[in-house]
Amino acid sequence: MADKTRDAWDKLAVLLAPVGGLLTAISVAYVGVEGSKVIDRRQAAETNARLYSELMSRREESESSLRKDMFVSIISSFLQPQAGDLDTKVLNLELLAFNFHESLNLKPLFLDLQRRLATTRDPHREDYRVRLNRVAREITARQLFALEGRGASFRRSVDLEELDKVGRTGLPLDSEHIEVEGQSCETGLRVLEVDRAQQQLRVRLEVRSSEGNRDLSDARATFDVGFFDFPMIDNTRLANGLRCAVTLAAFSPDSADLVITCFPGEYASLKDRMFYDEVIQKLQRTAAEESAQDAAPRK
Amino acid sequence: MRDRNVTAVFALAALVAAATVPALAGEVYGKIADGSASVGEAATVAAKCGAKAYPPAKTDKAGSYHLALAESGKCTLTVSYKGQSASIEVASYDDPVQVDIVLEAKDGKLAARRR
Repeated sequence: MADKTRDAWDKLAVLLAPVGGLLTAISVAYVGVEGSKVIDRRQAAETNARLYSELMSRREESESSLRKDMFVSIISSFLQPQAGDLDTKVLNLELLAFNFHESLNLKPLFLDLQRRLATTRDPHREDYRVRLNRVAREITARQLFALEGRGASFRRSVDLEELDKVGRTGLPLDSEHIEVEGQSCETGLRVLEVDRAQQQLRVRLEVRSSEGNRDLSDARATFDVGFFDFPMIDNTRLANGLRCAVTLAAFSPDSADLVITCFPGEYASLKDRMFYDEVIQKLQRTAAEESAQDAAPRK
Repeated sequence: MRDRNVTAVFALAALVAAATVPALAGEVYGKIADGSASVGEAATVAAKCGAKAYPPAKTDKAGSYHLALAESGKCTLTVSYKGQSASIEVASYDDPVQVDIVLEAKDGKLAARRR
């Protein structure tokens, strides 16, 4: 009786019911397999990232340990009271300078060795002096090369004969408009004194905010600049997070060449810690830049 | 007496030799820009140090130039660009010195300043 009432739709339903079940089973299996693949891939990527960071941190640790041992052994040679031979001291300073120039202010050691060389009767003292100067200039050149890529710089010549004539008022050098990471300022320099024997200049760095820019208060700093002042280490911190360094590039009894470099604070030496407000400013700037970039394609 | 004369002659010769040896060579290099854009190969740079003049050197594609000077001391660099020329005072040292130059038009004339 019931068989008689079944029509074509009922028959189709009877046929499709197991097919539907089969399709559902296949879909569930497919989703399961693909999902597990995605999870596996993600886990593999996370494992790789963790492994990479572990390897990097281990490498960093072993390198730090090696550098620490090296540093302790070299620095002790300078701090021991007995006078070592000059050749060893120059070699040690070369090692220190080439390996730690980004983390340490080596100017006192350079000056100490320079003083020793000035008083010694060692027949090789001129060679040592040349080596010392060469190391200092090479380190300065390396640091400038790195910083100029991230910041902005300009160069000025100082006429030392003219400086002698003007006396204590000093010699102003042409200022320059500098723009780094969207922050701009007027950077000027006044040369106050020259020490020809030490090949040093006393300068006053003057940084003023550009017109329409109120982020930066005017800043002035007076300091000595010689061949042993390295820009990453010896620089002036500005209120907007930038650093400005003055470097002696060349010196003769009649003239001197200075390089003024302004760069973001994160490229200063490892010993230079950023202030908290600088970090917050940086984060705010980055967030603003990112939101501006996100908004740009919608226009 | 004869030994003393020989010594004097040698001393005099050494003094003359020292006086005639030229100062160590200086090297001046850098880039030239027209405002903020490079001048490319369109500029030449000549130098004059005291009485000695150096022939113009052409800039390369990047606007860079390089001059090897025999003297250290005050020199004048003359940049010629688009039919005009501008000069700038620089110092040459025993060590190489970088002199980047920015060209600007002031009252219709070409002016050079150091960057």
